[in-house]
Order: sequence, then C-alpha cells, then structure tokens
Amino acid sequence: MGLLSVDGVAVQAEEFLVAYLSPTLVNVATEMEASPPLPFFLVKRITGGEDMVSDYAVVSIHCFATSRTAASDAATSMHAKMKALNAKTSVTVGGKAYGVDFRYVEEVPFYVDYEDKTLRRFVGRYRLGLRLLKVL
Amino acid sequence: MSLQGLVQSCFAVGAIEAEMNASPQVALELMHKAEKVREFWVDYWEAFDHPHSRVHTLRSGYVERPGDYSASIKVKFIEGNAVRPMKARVTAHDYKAHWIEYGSVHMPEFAPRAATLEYFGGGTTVS
Repeated sequence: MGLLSVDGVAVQAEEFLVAYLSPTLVNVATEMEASPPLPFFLVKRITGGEDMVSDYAVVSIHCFATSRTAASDAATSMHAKMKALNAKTSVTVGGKAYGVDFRYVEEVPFYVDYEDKTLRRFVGRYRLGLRLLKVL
Repeated sequence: MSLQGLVQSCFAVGAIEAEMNASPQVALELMHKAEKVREFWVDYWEAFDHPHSRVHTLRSGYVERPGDYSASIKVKFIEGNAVRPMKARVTAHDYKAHWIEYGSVHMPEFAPRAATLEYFGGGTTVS
C-alpha cells in the first residue's frame, strides 16, 4: 500500500470512503444536488488532525431516503459496511491501493432532522486512521 | 478473589478513588476543564462568518437573536459520591443546535461539537 513517509500525504478520506462504499451502496458522493436519487449517501469530512504518521479523519455519512424507515434501512446497510472496514481492507483510489490503520465508530447512525419534509436522514460518524504515504 | 479485585486491594484503588472523589482540588480542576471546553466550543463557532445572523421572529413568536447558539452552550455538573466521580456535561441547548452540528438544507455541517471533542482528544468524552 505504499511507503510510510513523514512528509507523505494520506489518501483523501472522503474519496477513500466513496470508493469503499460504492460497490455495495448506490448513490455515494461527497456532494448532493437538490432532489437527489434515493437512497443517497453523503460523505463529508468534518474534522480531524494529523501527526507525523497518520491523518485522523472524522467523517460524517448522511443517509437520505423518502421515509424514516427507508433511511434507517440505508443507514443500517451503511453502518454494517463501515464496521467491516478494518486494517486488512484494501481500497483502490485513483489506481492505487489504500487502507486504514483503524476505524472507530464515533456515532452510530441516528435520525437527525434535515429541514426538508421530502427527505429523511440518518447520520453516522466515524474516525479513520489513514497512513501518510510517500508520493511516488 | 478475582485478579481485578486482588489488584484493587493491593493498591488500595478504592481508597484512592474515594479520596479523589471527595477532593475539592479535583472538583475545581474539573470545573476549570469544563469551562475550557465551553470556551473552545463558543470560540470555534464564533470564528465562522455568520452572514445571515440577524434578529427575527419565528412564526411561533420566538424572537431569535445573534449569539443565541453561543449563549446556549452551558456546563452542567453531575454530583459525585464515594464510588462515583463528579462529572461535567457541556451541551448546546439552542433549537438550531442539531442543524449547526449536522447540517440541514439551509446550513452546512459546521460540527462545532465534534471539533471541540477532537481538540480535547475525546470520542464522546473529554478526560
């Protein structure tokens, strides 16, 4: 998965998760247009720091659907897939293989109002350890 | 006796914990730490531009004012005893708090609570 490097860069957490989730889930993206195809999974990095070894990204994943039940089902599928992400998982982003050192569940998906009567949303938050790799 | 019980009796863990739980210095430090967390949360939020911030009245009659969210971030203390340490809880009570934290149609996901937890090194708690 590349060489560890203190002056390296980590894979973009959002791109990594979109690539990881997309084969299993439909409509996974980092931006959402008005009237999106449903269910829709919005991946967004919200915070997280970096040391000389890794990028510690905290990422929100929003699961949208037309009903609360459908959004809950989508969130359940997403959460199962996220819990399956471990240090042995390899994900191809831009033709290169990347992985995580760890994946923590910061917040199990739960219902959060979206101020839109046509959309129901569950949000989960996860922390990823993404190793800084030498740019070859 | 279990291994955990043996370790606790050898090192008088229970007595040390009871001493710490009753210590005014520990309580004072907890209050200081909780206030630091609250200040960071408010400062993080105030550092964003707030171009739409204004005084306006909702249909319910509630008058919304700039600074409502910051002012709603408060510290509460949970009393401890000999076996349970005192705790502090920092929460935002404004009705917009969950939209500010998780985003909505009209608002980006600012996540000031997550950023505060990140700064203080905790998942859901600060130690």
